[in-house]
Amino acid sequence: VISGRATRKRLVLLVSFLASGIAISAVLTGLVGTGAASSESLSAVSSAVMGAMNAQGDAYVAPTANAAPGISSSVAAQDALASAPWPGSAIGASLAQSTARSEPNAPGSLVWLVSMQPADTVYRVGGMPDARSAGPAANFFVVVVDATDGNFIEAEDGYSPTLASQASAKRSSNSTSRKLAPGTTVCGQRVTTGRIGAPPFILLSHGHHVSTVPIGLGSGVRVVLVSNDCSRGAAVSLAPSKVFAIKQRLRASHGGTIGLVVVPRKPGTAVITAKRGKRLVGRLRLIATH
Amino acid sequence: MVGSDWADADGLRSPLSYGAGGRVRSEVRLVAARSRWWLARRGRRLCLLLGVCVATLAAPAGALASGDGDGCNPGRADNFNTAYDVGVYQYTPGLSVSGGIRAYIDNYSPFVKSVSGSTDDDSEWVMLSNPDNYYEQIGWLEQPYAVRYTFAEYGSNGGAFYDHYHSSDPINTNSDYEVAFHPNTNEFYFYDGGNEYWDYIIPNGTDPVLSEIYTESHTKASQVSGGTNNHNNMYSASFFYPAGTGGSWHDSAATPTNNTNNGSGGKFGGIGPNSGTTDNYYTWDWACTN
Repeated sequence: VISGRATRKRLVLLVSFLASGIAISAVLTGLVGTGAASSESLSAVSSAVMGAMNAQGDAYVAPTANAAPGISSSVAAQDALASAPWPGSAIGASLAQSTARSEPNAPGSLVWLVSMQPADTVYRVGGMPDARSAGPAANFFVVVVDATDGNFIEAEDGYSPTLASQASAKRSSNSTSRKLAPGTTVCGQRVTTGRIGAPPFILLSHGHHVSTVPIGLGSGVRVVLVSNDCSRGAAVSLAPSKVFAIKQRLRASHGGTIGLVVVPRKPGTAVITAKRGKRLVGRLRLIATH
Repeated sequence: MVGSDWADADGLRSPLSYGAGGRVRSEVRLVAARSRWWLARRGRRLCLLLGVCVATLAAPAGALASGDGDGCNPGRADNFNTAYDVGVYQYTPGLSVSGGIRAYIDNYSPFVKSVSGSTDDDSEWVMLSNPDNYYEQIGWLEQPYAVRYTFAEYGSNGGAFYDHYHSSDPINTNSDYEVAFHPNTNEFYFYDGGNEYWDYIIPNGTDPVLSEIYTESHTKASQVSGGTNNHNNMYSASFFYPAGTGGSWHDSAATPTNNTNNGSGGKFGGIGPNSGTTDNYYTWDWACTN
């Protein structure tokens, strides 16, 4: 009996020890797994965020077709979260290649760019003495990790007015992301010319009141709807012409101009004016920002 | 620029939830309960073994909770998002174009208050600026719980800013931080110990004329770098003027400033020049001895 008890005791001891070990392993796995994402759950870093990054000089480019990272996007996201200056969540990961302007990377390095959404508000680090509190919060966050081993290379955040205007346009109107093409109906008028097939394509504003639209330099072609009142024969002009260039006019079936495709040329302000005869029917102020 | 094969995604969508903190805490509690059960029944040797495991797991959290490497909690009330700057500034003679600012700065580790809803930091940096338009700076930053980075920042008075975070230099060393301006390309270069961390081409043509070296905090509850018996040093401050091939480095003759008024007429931060020099300065917090 004594021997049987001793055997059972040893057995209980062994089972308990194993159970405890499994529990510890589970916790360790859970800790390591915290912040990780499955590769299926991460989309690419948005083109808007990529634009904000590259606008401040990083010049990361798409990798070559045969680029082979040493770690997956989910592992990269996990590594990025572990070293990010801002606690938060990963929302996108893209493989990229550095260029000569992607310091401190050597040109041609393969990296993962992991975009993040921080849990807290993040402001600029420094700034002009006494002026800091007036600044906006950052609106993009990216961690760069080595695509070979996941080592932290750098993190970037910032406030991009271009990104903010894009986000604002997305929020403000559910009609601002439509694709204009021949046959599209805008304000009861059918677009007859001016097919726009490639992004970015955002109708930033429409209406007749004076409003202000910031457009970032280098952000690509923008379509601005300047008149949607079906005002036949409205003359649309943009001045001064040095700040924005009109690449294309969108005309509707009534023959009037309903939109312009503009490209910012240099920092400054320009005004689009729509007149029918001498009567002002629409005005829109555009600001070309950095 | 972004290659055409970069997939687009909505960077503004709701983030994935990586913060499975509740689940992990539950697992920790489960293991803790199992460990107590186990320890109560299975003797001192296993108690010792698991004690070591628990201590190992708990150590990082304890180290974080203990806070910073230097300094002290000054015990002042929190008024987050008010900038406090202690340092020196100098306009270039005749407002000629600044070509660079550099200084050896102590990598001091101050107490940084953890504020609700934001990731805050203390920082210390060298900076070139055109006060009406923009600034460019590099230095160290420290977040609550001694999380540190080397950072470089561009900020414009229009609101845009970009931050780059890199691995930090060890605390209680000093680093040669430098911002240089190349007028022929309108390009700023950021260096730490001679290593280039970033370069940024300013989008408009205004030239830097002001050089600054400051330590900065954003709430009275955080420590101004340095203690009354352990000063935070800025060595060999010098600036380059005029910008371009005709310029040269000059010892700083900067003007100390201290805007750390605590609201009741007193000062809680101090700055002084090292005796007999015009290019060495130090700062401290009156509430901390070290």
